[in-house]
Amino acid sequence: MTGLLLTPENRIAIKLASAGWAPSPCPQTGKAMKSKPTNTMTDQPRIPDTQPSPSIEDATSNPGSQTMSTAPAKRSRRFDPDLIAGTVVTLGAGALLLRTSAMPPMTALLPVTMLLVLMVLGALLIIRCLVRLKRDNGVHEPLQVFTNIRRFLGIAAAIVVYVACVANLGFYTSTAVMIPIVAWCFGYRNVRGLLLADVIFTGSIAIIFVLLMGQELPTEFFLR
Amino acid sequence: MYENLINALPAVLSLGNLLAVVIGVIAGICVGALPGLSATMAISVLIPFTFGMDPLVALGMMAGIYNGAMYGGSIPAVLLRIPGTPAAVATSFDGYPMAQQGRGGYALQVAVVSSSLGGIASALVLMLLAPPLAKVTLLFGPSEIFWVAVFGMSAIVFLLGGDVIKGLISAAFGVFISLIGIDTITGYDRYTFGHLELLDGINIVVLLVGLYALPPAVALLEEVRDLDTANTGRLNTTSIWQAIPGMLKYWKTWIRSSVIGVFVGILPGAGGSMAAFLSYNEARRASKNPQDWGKGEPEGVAASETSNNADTAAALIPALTLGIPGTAVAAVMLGGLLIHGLQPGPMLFRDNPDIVFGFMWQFLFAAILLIALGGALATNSFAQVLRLPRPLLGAIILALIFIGVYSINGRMFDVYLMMGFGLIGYFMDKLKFPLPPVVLGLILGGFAEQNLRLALRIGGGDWSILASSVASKIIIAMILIVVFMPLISRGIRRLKARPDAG
Repeated sequence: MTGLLLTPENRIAIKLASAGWAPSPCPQTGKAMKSKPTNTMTDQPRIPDTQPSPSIEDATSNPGSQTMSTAPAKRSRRFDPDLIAGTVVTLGAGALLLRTSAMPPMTALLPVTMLLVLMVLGALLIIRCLVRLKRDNGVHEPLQVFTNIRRFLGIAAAIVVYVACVANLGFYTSTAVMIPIVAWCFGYRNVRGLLLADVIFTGSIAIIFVLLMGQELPTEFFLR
Repeated sequence: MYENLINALPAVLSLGNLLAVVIGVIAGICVGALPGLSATMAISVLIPFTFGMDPLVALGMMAGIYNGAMYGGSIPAVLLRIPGTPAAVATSFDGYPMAQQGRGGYALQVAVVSSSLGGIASALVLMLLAPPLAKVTLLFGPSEIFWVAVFGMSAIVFLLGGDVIKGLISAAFGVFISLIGIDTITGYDRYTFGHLELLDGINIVVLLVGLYALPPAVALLEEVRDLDTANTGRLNTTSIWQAIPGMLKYWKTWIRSSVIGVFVGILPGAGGSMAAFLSYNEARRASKNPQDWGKGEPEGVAASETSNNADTAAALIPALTLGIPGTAVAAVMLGGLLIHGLQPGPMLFRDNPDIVFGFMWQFLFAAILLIALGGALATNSFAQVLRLPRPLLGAIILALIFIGVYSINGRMFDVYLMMGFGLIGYFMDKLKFPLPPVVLGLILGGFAEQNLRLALRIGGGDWSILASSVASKIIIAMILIVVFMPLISRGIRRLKARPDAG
């Protein structure tokens, strides 16, 4: 069985797939997907049918997302995401390690071990990144974190505002307002569809949670 | 050994349990059909909603979602060449060309029948292998259990592939998270920062939802994408019962792919996408017409879909018997078990045989139901799921996530914590830090610590007790193999490559 699974052909297949190989490119006639020209927040490139199938790694990390592209060329080494991640891990673990001094030895055993491991691994990540930058003379392709940072910040702000509203105004009020606004802001502009979805969703949740389950969600401000 | 399996059947056949499986399969197909959403995400969101339910009903829904999503992922893979789930990548190789030739309906029918057969094979293997394995693991003491936990974490980091340093950071982070809260032996509170809410530790559902459900919801809003759903309107689907006789010629592929899927499923860290690729390649190698593969060969769809569903229940064998989830979905399922007060591991088979064996039956029924629900009734309808607007879905999922996390303890603190994990999960995903080791670390970290300390107490503080038994030595050897195997194989490949280069 192991022989069957780990034949050279299989290894090659997985490697080819990881490198974005598909057995045969599809004809160029049909359109797999298209960008939405009406929304200008991010215009993503049209993906031609000749583009290879997504790799195992890409698909595993973000299935369905074929639009993650690596940013081209030269970036400042200060902003290499791996370098930043390594620094955050090392410093964060170091700071937490300081808190273990007051713990009883057996209580501190695993936390100290894990935090030391994290510091060492974070340092390795930094060293690897610096070596790579030096080897490539500062020119390499770092991972692209944001497809559109403005859009990401908008989503993050929407989530924070929604959670704050739920805590202060109540769940149903905040949700009934959040769904159409967020969907509208992020590209769905069909008013009828928005209102219908809003009524159906919020209504269903109310029926399920209030009538059927008796589960309390944050109370509405006008009922307090 | 198997009498418990038979005894569990009547409870599973009750209307409530069957209905839960049906709803789970339908929901799973819908979720799997939506690119960007996965079974892991769906189950993470579902778990908090199941608090008030009977454990078997909740597990039935999870089994249904898992099976349904593995097939659902093939719908966009066939119609749009965008795999709905990672495991459906290989399905798109031949499925999409078939859709372009106007045979999309047949491709989906082959996919659903193959998925169902793979799922049935997997459920049967789970039923046959898990009980004896659980009996063996009942003999394990604290040191063996500690090493098993270490093995589970090593396996998922080293066998998952990718960046080992990042994998190890993920696992160490997960273990560290498991240590937050009061130390049950000394009563010392670790890393609670004065928050009483953290004394009991971090609830696994908060972490799961933060890591697995929030980032996909953000991705739905982040990516502007309008899918061309033209192929969904011209599936040319006939009745699946008429189509099945024509598919019987794929029987060899079904058997071969089931074996590969089950084998890969049992291996920790492998998962459905690897099973699908291996199976596709083996089927292509064995085919009489390999030149037609990639141009619309239905057997390619059959190979990929059989094995990615054959991986499902098999992945639960180590999860249920040893408490080691081999894949992210299995880890999430273990989270579901823990929420219902069921500790995965050999004791589960002794203490809750009705539930654990009932769960196995539910896997089998979910796989059988796939044909009826995914094929005969509604392949056309499910394809329409792709037309749902992504921003609206994103907003709705955000609300569902909130409800799920808030419902655990009825407090906003969990929601804030989940947002923090969501942010971490988002960046980890973008920076290619694997997420399954974090979950595994959280599940196994506390478990490992508890057993390590118990073993040391038994041994009077003597560390050599950890390697005193034969079973411990065998598990340590397995850990060393898992850790050093990639290095050794890399060295062998280099040695082989050198004469070629020369």
